[in-house]
Amino acid sequence: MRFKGQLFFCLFLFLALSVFSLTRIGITAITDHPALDAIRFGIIDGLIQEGLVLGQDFEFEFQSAQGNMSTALAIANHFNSNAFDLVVPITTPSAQACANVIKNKPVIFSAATDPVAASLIPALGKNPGNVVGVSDMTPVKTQIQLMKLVVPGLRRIGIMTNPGEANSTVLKDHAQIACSELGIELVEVVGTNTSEMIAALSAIVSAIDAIYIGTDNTAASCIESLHRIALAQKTPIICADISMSRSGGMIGYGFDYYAFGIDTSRMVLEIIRGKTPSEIESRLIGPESLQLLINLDYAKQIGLMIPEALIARASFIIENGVEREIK
Amino acid sequence: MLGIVEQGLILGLMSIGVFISFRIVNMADLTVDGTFALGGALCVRLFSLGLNAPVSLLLSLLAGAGAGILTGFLHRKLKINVLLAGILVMTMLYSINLRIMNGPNLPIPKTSVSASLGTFEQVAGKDPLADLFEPSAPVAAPQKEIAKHRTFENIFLGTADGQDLLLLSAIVLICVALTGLFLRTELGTALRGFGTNPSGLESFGLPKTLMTLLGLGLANAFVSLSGGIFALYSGFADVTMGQGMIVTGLAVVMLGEILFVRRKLVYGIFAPILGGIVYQGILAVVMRYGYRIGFRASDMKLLTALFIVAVIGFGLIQTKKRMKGKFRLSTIFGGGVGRD
Repeated sequence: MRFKGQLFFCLFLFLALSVFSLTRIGITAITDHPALDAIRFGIIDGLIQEGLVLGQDFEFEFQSAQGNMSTALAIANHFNSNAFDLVVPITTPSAQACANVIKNKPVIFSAATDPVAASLIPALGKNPGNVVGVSDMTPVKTQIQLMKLVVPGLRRIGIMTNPGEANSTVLKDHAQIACSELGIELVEVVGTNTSEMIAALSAIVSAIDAIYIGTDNTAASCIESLHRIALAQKTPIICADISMSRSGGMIGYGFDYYAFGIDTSRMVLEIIRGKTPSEIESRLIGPESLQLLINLDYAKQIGLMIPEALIARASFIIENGVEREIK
Repeated sequence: MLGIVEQGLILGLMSIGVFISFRIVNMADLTVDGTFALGGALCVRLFSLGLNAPVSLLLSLLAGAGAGILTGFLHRKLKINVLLAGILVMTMLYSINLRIMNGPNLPIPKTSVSASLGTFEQVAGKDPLADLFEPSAPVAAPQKEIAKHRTFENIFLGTADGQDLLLLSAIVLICVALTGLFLRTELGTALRGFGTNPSGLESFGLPKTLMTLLGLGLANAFVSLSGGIFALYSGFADVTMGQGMIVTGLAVVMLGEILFVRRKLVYGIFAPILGGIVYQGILAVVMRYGYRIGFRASDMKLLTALFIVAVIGFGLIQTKKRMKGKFRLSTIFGGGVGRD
């Protein structure tokens, strides 16, 4: 065993020495999940699109913490070694672990919904230090306004939320503010895992006029089931994530997580090309990246009319089982 | 390298708790997953309320002891199976931890001013769909207030100069020494005897209930303290941070016992510390080299569980051999899970 370890170490050293200009990126996420995977693929593809060659200009290693905070910290320690030039943590807890452990190399967080409340950065924009990144804050108020526009007499909206997820809780708070502005009652539909969430929605679906799903990982994992329950009660679903709404939303307004990864890769590229994190602004993904998906089949099934003015603004329309992109 | 040892010490401290419940009082206590998060949650909450780090740690230690005592109470007084009692308390703690943190995740405040990002509209400007809606009066977001006037001094600096390591070693040594001294006392001796022969001890006039509460309380105090230290060290507490800790802890205990065969330092409570450091070392090696041979970090859980199964199975064979041969005091695989 010991011999094997030494062999690998030599191989590793050789690899490290032979390719000197190689940027080695450590990517980590708190768990494995389609949206989080999409971000990772987006980051890699984004770098390749910019002309960087995988294996020649950059190399990456991905580690998932499997939902374990202790592992997340061990991963941060692992990335803190000399073998890595920069670290990209995806999701809030992974970003917190990396930002606290890694002090002398760039940490570019991705998809931390409220990086300020998570103590990653003091504010958006340029900050001193080695931490910079992109927040996946989503336009909660617009999403709820869209629901109000489409559903006549909308009084009560249910939000699917897992109280154990930082990102989901942030959006719930924002939804609460938006609803009180718009005079709508917000009902929390809570589940700490998929089966609880499905049961919670079944219990309350007849009492709500619409369902709002933010960037909640638990809801994303059981969106097909939530969709069936909603459809049976003729209740519309609006999602903050385009890929989630493809699998079960009537309206999706937000961004695609793959595109989000590509956006993050721009920041990674700036670092690779020699900028320091304190020279780069931490930001949201811009309003120009927002996309609107409308599922007309869903609307027809539950007997809702989507206003023409809204259809005219859609980026994707699903009609008769076919999705088309509108340029 | 430093980070591995530091994390190993924190893990080791947690595993002392597992050692006490599984080995000394001989009970499979599953409260651990909940108490670890409780320690982290409470410690960060108290710290951000303005208490200093040592006091926050001490109070979270006491809260952890309380959780252990509750498990013991459910087990002894309500006659609930100890496994179920642990799971029940762990489940309760999930909700309680969310209450304590007022959310799933609580970072250690770095500055005296509380802050949040604000809504999308506030930071990103005009939404492209804004013209579709009637304008509505914005409501001011409620600001979460934390103590305005103070700066927060974390006891862990996060620097690589070994200061954190020194502090952690000191904490661990003090804990081990105090527990060692306690186990020497009359009560401590009784506790150790309780694990091997609960009924025999009762005939000496020491009630089972008291011993159970004491054992589980002490065990969970360690777990909770370790959770608090983990949170301070890593800069945040998260409601899921205790997930799977019991299995990790058990693996660490067994690893420590294998490494410390026949050298029962301080009644064996020193072994988990070494086990913790070695466990983190293995994890680091797996991450560094395993990646290249197709091993994933996600396989670690399977490996950890298989390791425990293997050690128990191996222990059983050893015990059988020992029964045939000359009688010897059960050394390493005697207590807890290894035994029938």
